[in-house]
Amino acid sequence: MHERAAILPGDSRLARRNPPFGTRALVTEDTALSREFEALLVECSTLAFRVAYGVLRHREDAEDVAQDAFAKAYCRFHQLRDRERFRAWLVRTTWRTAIDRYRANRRRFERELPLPIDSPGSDSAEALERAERLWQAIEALPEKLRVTLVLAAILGHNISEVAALLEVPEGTVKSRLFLARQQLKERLS
Amino acid sequence: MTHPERHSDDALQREIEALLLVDHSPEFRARVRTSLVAVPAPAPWRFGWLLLPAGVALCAAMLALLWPGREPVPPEAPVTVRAADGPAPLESPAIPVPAPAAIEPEHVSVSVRAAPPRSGPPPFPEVVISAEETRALRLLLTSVPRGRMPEMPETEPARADQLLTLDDVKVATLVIEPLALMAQLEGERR
Repeated sequence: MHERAAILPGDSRLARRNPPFGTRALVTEDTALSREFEALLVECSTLAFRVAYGVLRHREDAEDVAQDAFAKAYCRFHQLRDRERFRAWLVRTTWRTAIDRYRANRRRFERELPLPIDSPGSDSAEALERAERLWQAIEALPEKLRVTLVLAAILGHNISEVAALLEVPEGTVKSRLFLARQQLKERLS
Repeated sequence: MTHPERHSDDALQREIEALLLVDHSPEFRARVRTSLVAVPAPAPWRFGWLLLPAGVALCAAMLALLWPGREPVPPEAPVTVRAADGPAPLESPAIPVPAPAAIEPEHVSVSVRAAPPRSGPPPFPEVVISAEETRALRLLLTSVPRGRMPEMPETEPARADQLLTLDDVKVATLVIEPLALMAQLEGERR
């Protein structure tokens, strides 16, 4: 139920005395805008999270990045004239933010600890090794091939949806996917 | 694409999808909403980008008006060349040219004002204009605006009887030094 609650920017006084976590429903001057953004948050939260996870391989970091991306999107939401492009906009913002976070983590953890990576569940050792090799092969891909591969692998996106998210022709998506899979197979073989 | 390759691509795609099949925590959206509360509300006015060029233009205009050390330059009168009895001077019709001030001959006067006293020596010697030069200059100034050359007082040509004859020319006697002196000098040398 709380997922349909309106976003409440700008009224921190009411927000402070509002109790349950995530169920704030405040009335603002621009309620329509907030409701529209709330609907987009519900629709696109998994997309943003998985895009960030495809870069970071860490759930908490991915959530932080997705949250930052939504905050950026919210600040500039009034500038977006074509709301149909919100998903593409959010994907780009999330991807860039995740790449920045990944590079910052790498610089930091190169000196201290290995990068924080989620460990899969109770898979076999062979499956874990195979997954680790696949992750490394994906990380070694060029950025354009990598984002195309990740978008094609999440939420059942087809070619045209990936093309719309990246705002490139479908032929470009097909060629990128072909190259990405070819390079993955070479590295995995 | 052959069948085994197709199968391999599908298997690889399924593996990648399985890697990315991770959901965010249930509190994720609530965290996002909480963070958005702290974000300043977006302005509903969507034409804020118009303020930037307008502000830049306003600043440029103010800077141009308030820039120090620039005084307005008075417009210069065009130089027109007028022949003595020729056609009208050529002037650009697009540019309005103020009519030159008519100089009445009787009002023309050449006045030499004394320079204000200076502490140091004058850089140039003082110019002294004689009465004849003053008169000629005055005549020139009165004649130029009317496009005429100044009328100079005519002098009568010299008559033939006033010319000097050859007899009247007196040539001074040429005196040549005697050579003895030179010879004497040479003898002494010997």
